[in-house]
Amino acid sequence: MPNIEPVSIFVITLSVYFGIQALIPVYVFVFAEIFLYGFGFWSVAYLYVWPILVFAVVALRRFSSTPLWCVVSAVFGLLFGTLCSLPYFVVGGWGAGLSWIASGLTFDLIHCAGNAAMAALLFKPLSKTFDFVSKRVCIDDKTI
Amino acid sequence: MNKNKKVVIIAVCVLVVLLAAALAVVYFTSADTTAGTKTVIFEVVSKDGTSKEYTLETDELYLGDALLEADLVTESEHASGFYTSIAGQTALWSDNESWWCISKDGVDLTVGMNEQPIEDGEHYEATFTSGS
Repeated sequence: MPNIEPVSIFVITLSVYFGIQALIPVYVFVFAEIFLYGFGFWSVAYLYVWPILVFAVVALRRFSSTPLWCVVSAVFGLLFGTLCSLPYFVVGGWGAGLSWIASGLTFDLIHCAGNAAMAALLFKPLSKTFDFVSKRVCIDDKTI
Repeated sequence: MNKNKKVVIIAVCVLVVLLAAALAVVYFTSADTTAGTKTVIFEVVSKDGTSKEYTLETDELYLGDALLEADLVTESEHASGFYTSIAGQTALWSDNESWWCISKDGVDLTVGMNEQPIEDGEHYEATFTSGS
């Protein structure tokens, strides 16, 4: 299914546990995707969209709870198309950008629902895993 | 009410506003569909440049549904809305960056075939294309 993905909750959980250092695995992911699928408009968007999620989570992580991350993940999914539209505004102007947003909104709605469900299902298990790993390997958000 | 709950409530309010805005845009930008039987011409221009026209007589509202009804596309690709095979011919990006360019009276569609409403007397083209 298009736009049903666990990446958002992975990025959120990484950001909750490791703070701004979550940008490291995020950019590894972004460049791995570019290497696998080739460079395109989407690649430019990926360079800033996923870091936006990291910064938003880092700002909110002191209020961390599963319901909060469900809502944050849902909002991110809903705004994903809009956030990714910037290259289209730059290249094609207002018409191209706005029509790109409007035509992708159905997928953004699916993305919103999928992200909320993924966060509800995966935040606690991922938290336990990262908790275990970070204590064993002695990594916290002050490591780097 | 503790701070965590307040933040969640604010976040939910933001989500509700954004959802309402998104649904409004989807509703007001959706093209109107036409009920009843329609006759639509679907021209397939092959890799070698030859073309064949298929006359679709259908009650379906959208182009993708009409093509599925006429067995010009597969059910699995219809479900995803991403078509590589039309009228038994396959265009794969991995094979010389091939793809199907779908147009109406020579003007490229701005939506997928599953979202394209059809009306009586329209002419659509699927042109086998290589490269960007």
